[in-house]
Amino acid sequence: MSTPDSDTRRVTKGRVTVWAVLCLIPVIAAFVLQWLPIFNGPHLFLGLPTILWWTCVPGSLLVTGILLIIEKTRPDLERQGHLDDLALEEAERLESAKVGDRPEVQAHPDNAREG
Amino acid sequence: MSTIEIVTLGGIVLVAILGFIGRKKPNADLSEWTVGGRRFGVATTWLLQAGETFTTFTFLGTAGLVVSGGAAAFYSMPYVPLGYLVLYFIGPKIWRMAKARGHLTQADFLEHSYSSRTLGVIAGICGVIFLLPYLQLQITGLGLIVQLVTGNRTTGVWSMVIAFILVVAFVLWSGLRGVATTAYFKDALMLVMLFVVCISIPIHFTGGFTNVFDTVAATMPDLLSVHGTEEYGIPWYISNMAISAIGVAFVTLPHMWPPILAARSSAVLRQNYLWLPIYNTFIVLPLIVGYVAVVILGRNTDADSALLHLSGQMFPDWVIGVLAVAGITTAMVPSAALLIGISTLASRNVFRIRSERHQFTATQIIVVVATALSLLLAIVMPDLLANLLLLTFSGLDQLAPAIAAALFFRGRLSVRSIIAGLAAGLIVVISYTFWLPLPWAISEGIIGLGVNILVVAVCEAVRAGVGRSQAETSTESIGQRA
Repeated sequence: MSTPDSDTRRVTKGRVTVWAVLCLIPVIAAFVLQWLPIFNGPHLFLGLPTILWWTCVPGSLLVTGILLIIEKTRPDLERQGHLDDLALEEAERLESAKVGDRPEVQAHPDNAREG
Repeated sequence: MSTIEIVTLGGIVLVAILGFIGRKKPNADLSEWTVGGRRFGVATTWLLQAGETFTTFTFLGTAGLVVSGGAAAFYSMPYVPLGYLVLYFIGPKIWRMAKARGHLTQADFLEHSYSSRTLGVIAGICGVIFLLPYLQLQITGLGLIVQLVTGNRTTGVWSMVIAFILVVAFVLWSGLRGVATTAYFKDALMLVMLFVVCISIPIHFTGGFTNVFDTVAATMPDLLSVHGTEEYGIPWYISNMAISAIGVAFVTLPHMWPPILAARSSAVLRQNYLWLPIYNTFIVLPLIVGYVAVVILGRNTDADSALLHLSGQMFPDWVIGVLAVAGITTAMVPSAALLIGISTLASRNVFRIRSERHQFTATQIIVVVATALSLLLAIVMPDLLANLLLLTFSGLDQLAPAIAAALFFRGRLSVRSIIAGLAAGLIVVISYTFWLPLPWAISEGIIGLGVNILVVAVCEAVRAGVGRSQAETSTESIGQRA
């Protein structure tokens, strides 16, 4: 059985770059469209204010579309499940080892494991 | 009692009953009470997270913002999806860290990430101070809704008192599980009423959506675009959208942590973030009603009452009552989540009660005290809704660099730098909110965040410089000794 550290189906840098570019599209759209009179002017588009269409589309539909693409092309979904299982194991270990009433402040190994 | 009052009172009691149904016996465990035993599935987590989008602001502030600022009100549409774009990636990571270490609050996460109790206390205090106005906003909104539909201020005040006594009761009994059961009712009723009201109002008063916007385009074209640099201008729009998106992305509102931590797995969160942006598009409905209000009632109408005022002119009393109940649920349900957030932060991170049993008792007492305080403020000092919401976001957004650095820099930043940045950001936000004029009406939160990040960067640079000079000095002294 593979472990998160030995799992070869990790996300490559190239894939991360593609995801970052995709994610930047709605962000840039949301912050730039207001400066362009064609999208932000005193006129209507299909009966509604133009800016309403262009804030609605990048803001909602585009974000869902992009996240769906990312979710469907992720090679590391199995690894995400592994990380969840490890978090669960660690929680159980902490619970059984708990002497006081609440956990003390400690370094978090989960961060290192996610690398 | 009138029909509206009977329906409204019935609705308040029904919400409370649903809240009690959340648990068969009273809660006695803080983890179970705060995060529902971390066993919630997609539907429940969805509704708890969507609760952030649809609050009293949806019924009052959103349409009101159109009346005040025209198209600038559209800033309320894209910020939530933009936030989810980031949360899709960091939400699962936050969930795993919290699960592994037993975090119940945002301050637990920060305290553990930086190994600093001081930061935990500061985050806890910030959370409590900045969430109280948000709680007050919900209470004021509830009173305003009842007052508007009944036309009686006394009824509004009494409804606030009755509703919040019941909220306290079901929150004490069932915790987050109660919030979850009421959230199902709240979202179902709210969506039905939003569709009924927001589609029939334009048809009744102007003959349809198109006529509304044709009239606006012909008589008040400035309301169709965001322009200028004054209040509600482009800088205002962009900065408020940015500060609100940052707030959602880095979960700077502490009461939004329990819904994330309560998920059964990280996959549940990922599934929700895929589709929640679509759900957010329903916010367009009250925005359209805002334009109808401008056309029918004029630009000098009372902004916050626009939606209910128009409904009062066309619907029978029982429909107005149901609409009021829908509005009331958007106040009661988020308030219950806020109470859980505030009280857990106070008992665990501010007062730092060690024993779990005593911690739970203190949490319950704080629920009562926080509600009483907010209720008093809501009755004595009610304020304009939208501005209060922006103040809450601006203040709590100063925690964003600390949360982001904990996730992305893995504790490499010094806690002193983080605290210095947070303090500087908060001073700037408070100064601009109460004393200083804002340049181009930019959100005070963005200015504060800029100063916050700058201070963190300078502190880190100084720390790196001091570390380097100390290393050189020790190397020289070793060389001299050799």
